[in-house]
Amino acid sequence: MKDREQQQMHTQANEDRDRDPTVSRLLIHLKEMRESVPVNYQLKQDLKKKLIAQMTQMGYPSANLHSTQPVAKKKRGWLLWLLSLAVLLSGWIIWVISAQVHISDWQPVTAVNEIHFQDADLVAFQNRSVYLSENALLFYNDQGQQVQTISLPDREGKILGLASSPMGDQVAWIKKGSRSNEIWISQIIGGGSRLVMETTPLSFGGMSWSLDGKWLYASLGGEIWQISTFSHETSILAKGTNPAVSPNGSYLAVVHDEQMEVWEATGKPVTKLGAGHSPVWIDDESILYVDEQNGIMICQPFEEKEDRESVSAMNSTEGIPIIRLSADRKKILWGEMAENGGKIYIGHLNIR
Amino acid sequence: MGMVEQSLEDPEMQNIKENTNIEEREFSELYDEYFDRVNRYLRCRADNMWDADDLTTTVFLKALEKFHQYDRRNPFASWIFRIAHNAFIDYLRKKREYPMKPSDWMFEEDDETWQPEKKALSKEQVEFLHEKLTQLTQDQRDVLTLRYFADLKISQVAEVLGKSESAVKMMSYRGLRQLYRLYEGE
Repeated sequence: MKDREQQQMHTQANEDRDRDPTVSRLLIHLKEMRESVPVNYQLKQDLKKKLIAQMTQMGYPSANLHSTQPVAKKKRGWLLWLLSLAVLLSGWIIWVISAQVHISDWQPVTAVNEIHFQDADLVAFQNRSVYLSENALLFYNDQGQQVQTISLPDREGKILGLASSPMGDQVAWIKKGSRSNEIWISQIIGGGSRLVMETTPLSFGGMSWSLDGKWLYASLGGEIWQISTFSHETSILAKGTNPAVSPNGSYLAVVHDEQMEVWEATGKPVTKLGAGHSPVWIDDESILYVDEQNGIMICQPFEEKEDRESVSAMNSTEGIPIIRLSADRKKILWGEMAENGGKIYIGHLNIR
Repeated sequence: MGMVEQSLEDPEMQNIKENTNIEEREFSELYDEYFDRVNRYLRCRADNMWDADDLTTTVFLKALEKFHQYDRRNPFASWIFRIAHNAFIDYLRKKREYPMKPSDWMFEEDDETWQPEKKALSKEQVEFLHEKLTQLTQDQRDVLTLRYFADLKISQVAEVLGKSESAVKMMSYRGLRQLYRLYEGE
């Protein structure tokens, strides 16, 4: 039903354009405007909790309640029951034997092979990826075309890394000068940049955003700094590199002495996960990471039984592998980073 | 077997079987899918994002309350946007009673909670579009925002507004032309 609707909508949009070509530019503008309107994902999460609580109060059988079904559906009887049971049983078998997460349709972004970049990330909700070059943020669409460039403020030093915001509206990046490290945030719309934090020059080991966009987590000098994106508030939470904060903001995954660890966001170590790097949270209970053989793995840090599964055939043959997830957890970027650039692949993440 | 035979003979069942467009998803799934569109639509229409988010909350709470009344043979998009549109009309009515000029407060407050949201659309872009939309008729505004910001089909816009499809097409066409002229006039 959804596909058909989308197809029809597409056809009607084309009809609108065909009817009067003078408005086609306006339609493109309206579409761009619509896509650039940010959605309040924090509200989406909070409201869902509220709705589920309300459903429970209203006496729905479960949080994932089925609402009123068509009258006829209730009449299908025991045959339907048997059929459902068979489907459930086969579903359960597939569930048991297959991986929780599957990555498909890996596509190389060949256009970036020729450019020098230090780091890469996916831009949330925009089908774009962003690359940090010496003096600019370069944006490429999924077809490999460069679609936007944002010039960076002219500052002395070497660019180190970037992280795209969960709302898809900003990119944080870091530059190391001879006298200081600087973390900046650039606006994707408008291209303005502002300095968020300045420290003495420290080694850099990765950066990520909290899901609500209020905090940056950066590894500086082997410590994980929590940096407010609104004020000058900063604090040091943990030791390590490659910080990744869980979607609910409660936990940090880091790499410390080549071992992955999970810390409470308040700065208390929780558990050690073994060798690996480049962790990213799929949800509040699962982490994707790159293992020692440079393949993509998944683990559940809070499960008693240590269970790790390979989720992709991607294995880095050259360069240091990194993974990045889009904020909606639908896409994954695989990078094989070399000194000045690297190879980038983007795949679809299918989460069960 | 009796039940099966009975249900196959049931004309309502036949009707439903013939109609392949039955919405079978659960409320929570529909919420996941439609939240973004509703939130974006209201953010395009309300004077500020706080009001839009309050309205979004109202819409989904009401939708849950009335979900048992939703006829699954009709598109969920039309149903949820009818609620969204009515909530917006109520909001306009209340605003008329307690008017406030959007530009006085839309981006002025230093509320860090919403800072990233505010920055996604520049003040100029939002104000520009709002200003141009206000120069259209109420019907044209409704049609264009439902069509192009809520991403509804013509037939769904017609259902939401209780108008015929041909009337909606005409309003859409005229509204677009008018908006185009307003943009061109800049």
